[in-house]
Amino acid sequence: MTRSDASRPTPARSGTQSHDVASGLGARARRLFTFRRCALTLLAAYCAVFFVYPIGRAFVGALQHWNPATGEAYWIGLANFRRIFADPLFWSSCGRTLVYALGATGLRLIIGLALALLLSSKLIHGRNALRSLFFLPSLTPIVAVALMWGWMFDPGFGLVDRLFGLTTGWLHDPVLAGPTFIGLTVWKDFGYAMLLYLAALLNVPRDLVDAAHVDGAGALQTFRYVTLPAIRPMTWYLAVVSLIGYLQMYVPIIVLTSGGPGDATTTVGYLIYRQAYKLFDFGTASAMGVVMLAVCAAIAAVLLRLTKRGEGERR
Amino acid sequence: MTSRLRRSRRHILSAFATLVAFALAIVTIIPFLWMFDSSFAPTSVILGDADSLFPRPTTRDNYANIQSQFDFGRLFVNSFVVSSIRTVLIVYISALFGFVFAKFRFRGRDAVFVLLIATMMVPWPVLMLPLSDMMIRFQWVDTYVALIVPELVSAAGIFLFRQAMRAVPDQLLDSARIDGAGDARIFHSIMLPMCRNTVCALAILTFLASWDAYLWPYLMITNPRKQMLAVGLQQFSNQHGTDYGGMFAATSLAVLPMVVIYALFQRRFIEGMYDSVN
Repeated sequence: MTRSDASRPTPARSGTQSHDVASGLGARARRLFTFRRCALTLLAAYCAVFFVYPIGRAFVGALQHWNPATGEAYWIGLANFRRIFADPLFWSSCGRTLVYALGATGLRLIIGLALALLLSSKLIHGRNALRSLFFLPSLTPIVAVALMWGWMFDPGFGLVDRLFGLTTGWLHDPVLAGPTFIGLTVWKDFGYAMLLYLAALLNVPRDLVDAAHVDGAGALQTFRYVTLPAIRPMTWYLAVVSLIGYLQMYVPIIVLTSGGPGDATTTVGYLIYRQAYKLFDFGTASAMGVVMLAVCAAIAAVLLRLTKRGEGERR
Repeated sequence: MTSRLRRSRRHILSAFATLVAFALAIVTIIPFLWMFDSSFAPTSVILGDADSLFPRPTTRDNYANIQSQFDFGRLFVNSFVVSSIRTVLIVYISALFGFVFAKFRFRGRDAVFVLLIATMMVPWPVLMLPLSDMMIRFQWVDTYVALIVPELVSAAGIFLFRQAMRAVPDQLLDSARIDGAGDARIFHSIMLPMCRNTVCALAILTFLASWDAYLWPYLMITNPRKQMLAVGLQQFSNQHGTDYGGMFAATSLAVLPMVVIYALFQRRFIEGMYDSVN
């Protein structure tokens, strides 16, 4: 998606050159210089305060006994990490979070792509209306989505149970609660994936598809060998963004189940929230956050490398 | 003869595919239809052994009650004002830095940009703890500054604008410079208007994210009259969890602004999203 523009002429450079050349243009050149420098200085200052410092503080906090309620913050080395790695709840939460993230990411991409393919077909009428309808869940606030799903799957009056004549408490069942959360997440997010896939499909070179038809390729073959490779960068992008987003999921859990029944819906994100804001144990929570950051960084690095390799193959 | 046969077969296929697509769309939005429909029924009917899956709309009491029961209007306005301020600031700042990263050359530009994109990968729970500690020490707790300032620089927004602004031809900027326009002028009267679609796309996404925000306002705002709607909804559901009619009405209204905004700016939003992919 990003391409180098090294070959393009750059007006900004000509601006800075005039700074050296003529003093008559000096005032204007200085103004040019100031605009850019101001912008970058502000950006650097802001990022230092609101990105760099907090990340650094989180790493330091992971090595501290840190309780903002009492104001305590003192060095305890790796004790926080030892504690969380010895905690079976942390490991089981990691497993659940991973299953949830992989499941939701996979379904989101598959449904998003399938609908994008459907809506890019000339056979369908009313494609704009359909696109808006499918995008509706993505426009809904997550708290509203969570509440709606809570009601839809309510054992007493929920539409799902009534429709199928069940009295299943989906969110109160240790086995069904996880998949219900995956369904909730995919329902909210597939529309966005669909939209981005629709955009990516517009960019598939038309002549390539035509050439495939001329060579006698069927619809499936064209999809497999032309369309799919052409939209691969979008797939990677969506996979990275979805995985990293879902690995930290906690809002619907706070709204609906508070991690229960038992620990059945306790994710790492929820564990961090509970450790920090119920127990005010910021140290242990930070240690879990650092582990989460490491996992996210590893996933991003691996997927980026795969993307690069994929691009190399095609050239 | 065969071509007419083929055409009529194509018509049937087209009708069938359209039917399937609309059926899928209806299934997708059933939760909305059910909630909206039920919000006009008394709670007793919603909970009762109704014969039909969709209760018959009979009353507007639910909508009348939510105002008196949890000051819905106040929370709605709070959310609307904070989300609007955030949206304007974030879109402007993203456009500004999108311009800087798209059209200026300076040492380390690409490295800085990659670093900025990398901040997208940092999970929010990692930033949240130090930030909430900072907000307490800045004494920003219970003010809207705490909701607005910590997330002003959006890496995703800058990325979106950088993509869009690279497509603006350099010749245009050159000729504006020859006419004596400075960078600020170029930004405001050329770049921003040319990227209207991106402005719309990012504005809708940012407004949605602000309207959506749950945990951060929950942690930062302690005065119930200053609270955001998303948090208010959840608290109302905890306190009056059995007043389903009221909850359905309140949630329907909470969904509404996004739908209206999307309906108004749909074309530009879609164009803006498409632009960002190129």
